[in-house]
Amino acid sequence: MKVSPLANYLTEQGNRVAHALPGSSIDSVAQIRKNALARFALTGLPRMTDEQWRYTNIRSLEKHQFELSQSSDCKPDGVNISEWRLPKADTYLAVFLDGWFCSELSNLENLPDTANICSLAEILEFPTNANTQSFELALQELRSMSANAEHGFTALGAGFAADGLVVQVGSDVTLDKPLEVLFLSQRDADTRFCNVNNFVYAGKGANFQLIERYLSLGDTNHLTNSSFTFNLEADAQVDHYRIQNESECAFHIGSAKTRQKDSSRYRIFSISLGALLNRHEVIQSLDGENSHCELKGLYIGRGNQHIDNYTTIAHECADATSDEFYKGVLDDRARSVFHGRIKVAPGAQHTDAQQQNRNLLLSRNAEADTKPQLEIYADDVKCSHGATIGQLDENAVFYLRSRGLTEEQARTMLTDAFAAEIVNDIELEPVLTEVSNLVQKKLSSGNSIKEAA
Amino acid sequence: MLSINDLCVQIEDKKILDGINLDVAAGEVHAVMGPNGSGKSTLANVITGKLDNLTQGRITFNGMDLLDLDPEERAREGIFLAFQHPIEIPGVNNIYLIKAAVNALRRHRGESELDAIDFLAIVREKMKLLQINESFLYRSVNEGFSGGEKKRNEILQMMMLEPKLTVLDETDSGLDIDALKIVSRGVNSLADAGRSTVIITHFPRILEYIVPDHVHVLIGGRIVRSGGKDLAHELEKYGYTWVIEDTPAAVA
Ligand SMILES: Nc1ncnc2c1ncn2[C@@H]1O[C@H](COP(=O)(O)OP(=O)(O)OP(=O)(O)O)[C@@H](O)[C@H]1O
Ligand SMILES: [Mg+2]
Repeated sequence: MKVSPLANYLTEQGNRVAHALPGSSIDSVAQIRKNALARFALTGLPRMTDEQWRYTNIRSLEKHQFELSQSSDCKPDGVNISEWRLPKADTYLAVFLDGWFCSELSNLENLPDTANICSLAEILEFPTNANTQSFELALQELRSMSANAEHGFTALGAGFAADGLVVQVGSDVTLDKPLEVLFLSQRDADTRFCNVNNFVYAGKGANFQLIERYLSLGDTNHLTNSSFTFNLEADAQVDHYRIQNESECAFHIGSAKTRQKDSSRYRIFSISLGALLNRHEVIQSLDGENSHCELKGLYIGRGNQHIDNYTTIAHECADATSDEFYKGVLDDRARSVFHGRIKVAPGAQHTDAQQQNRNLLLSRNAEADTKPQLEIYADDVKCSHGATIGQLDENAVFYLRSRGLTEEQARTMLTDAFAAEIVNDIELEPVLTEVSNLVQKKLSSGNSIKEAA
Repeated sequence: MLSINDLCVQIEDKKILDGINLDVAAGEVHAVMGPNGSGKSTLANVITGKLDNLTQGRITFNGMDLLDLDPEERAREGIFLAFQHPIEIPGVNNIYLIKAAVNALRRHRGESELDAIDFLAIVREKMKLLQINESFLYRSVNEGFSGGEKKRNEILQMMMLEPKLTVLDETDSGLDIDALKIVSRGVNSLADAGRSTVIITHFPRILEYIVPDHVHVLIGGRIVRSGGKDLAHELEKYGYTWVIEDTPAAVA
């Protein structure tokens, strides 16, 4: 296979900077990076010939020579965090600048003793008796990323493992406030490579909300490669809100991989607004009976944005349920890809899996590709899926105009209504307000809303 | 108020309207009756601006050339159509639409927007008169409404927008006897010397409640007969064949 110049560049860079990364003096850590880089050198970056990347061309990304963000690049001075954190929200706050944890901007005080949240870099650099569990969890996950890398970006994630958040919430602990993880890219983040890996463990019966946000301070073309893994013990409940609103020149590859035990519940809202090239993967493994997951997504693209949502839900055991609903609005020349794979393993009887993907094209040049993929190896199951790609209903546009609304108002109102079906399901008030505002702002700034008439 | 002159509409190579002349003066009520497919809704669509492929003709509204105006401009000048088949709009709250529409009209007239409390008070009063449950305000426009509920919702919008010219396209179809009275009461609550109504209907019953000054019979895209309110009853008795046989021009 032909390996791209960027892949070569990154492999060399990885070997060069390895000694400066956190925990490089610990053999087990260094070995993980080395193996992952070796794997990356073999696989390279994803190609459209890879079935999972069929509709996503990363050519625009390969035009740049990305440099791994150094811890010295992280400059918290002058960042007024109250401007960027979720408004009107009382949260535990973890802030990252270009991929590095910033304790001075974060606020993780007064966490219950049974909850442990700390920076991956810190754990790797200074393993102590107190954080042994987190250290072990991180190593195990990084090893698995390297060994089971689905594609180059996963291998790259482990090969350049630097910082991120390691979260452990103990049995039966309910966090009194949501945990907000804010990834900011700084004004000078052009061609910077921000690589973060986050590992979340929810003990038996634990219950909390996690808000994952990405913002850019400038119109920079950085690359974010971010992974989250969740392990939910029995009866745990995690609500995960993800808002990706990076610069529309940026490149963003993200994932949420979750394993769930008996009667646990995981719900994610994946809101994709920013980045020129955006891919978000949600990989679910329902390993326990009566476990339940909900995947809701909303993506809005304009200009030349490309938004790829790749999702897999594996029903590995009986009596688990999943509910997936993604909606997208594409304007100008924007493109979207939705891949919804549902696997029902042999013996996973009474599976109930619902999947829907709806796309609204506002311009003639916008494009949406949607690909459901159902693999069902059990017979007593309820699975359904549906996908649509359409335009605004011109009769509805006329109805609104006949009541005195301008054509632009009518189109905006109908487009808002389309998006609202996802947005209005957000239960956490400050997230709901923030997403509504962002969505409205993005939709009302579209320029071809008029032109499409 | 409304003056239609030699209006012809052709869709593909089919003549749908073929030389319509109609004058509606301020304060008048006109009824338009005619068999299915004769062009009644098409006429309504031309007036509101949904159709603009006229082959010939002129329409003026209070001195303005109506054909120069976009649908929203016509609405703001006071034209309202109660649709024969009101469309469902998932995700758009009824109250949100009504409020946006009322405020669009107020802005056009140079008035300030209604504040939320005043607006709610007015809309509640109209809903009471139309016997619509308040929960309908917070549902998506017409979504899951019964046929009769949709029609009432159209009249609610009409009452809120206070149009100068209302076109009711078969608003009476699908209404039960009580609902017909309620809806007529709603329409009449707005009646004054400055407002006009065009009622498209198949049944003389609604004309008992909203009494027309003129009745027109539209067949094959032409008005083949006009008369007073008694014409509606004659039509019911003798049917459209009677008009056609009685009016040689209609078969031409
Ligand atoms: N877009 C269109 N394309 C083709 N034919 C059309 C179109 N719109 C209307 N027509 C035709 O024009 C004719 C008149 O239709 P219209 O809806 O105006 O009838 P109507 O008098 O309102 O009938 P009804 O009493 O059933 O409501 C019908 O034959 C209809 O099929
Ligand atoms: Mg009709």
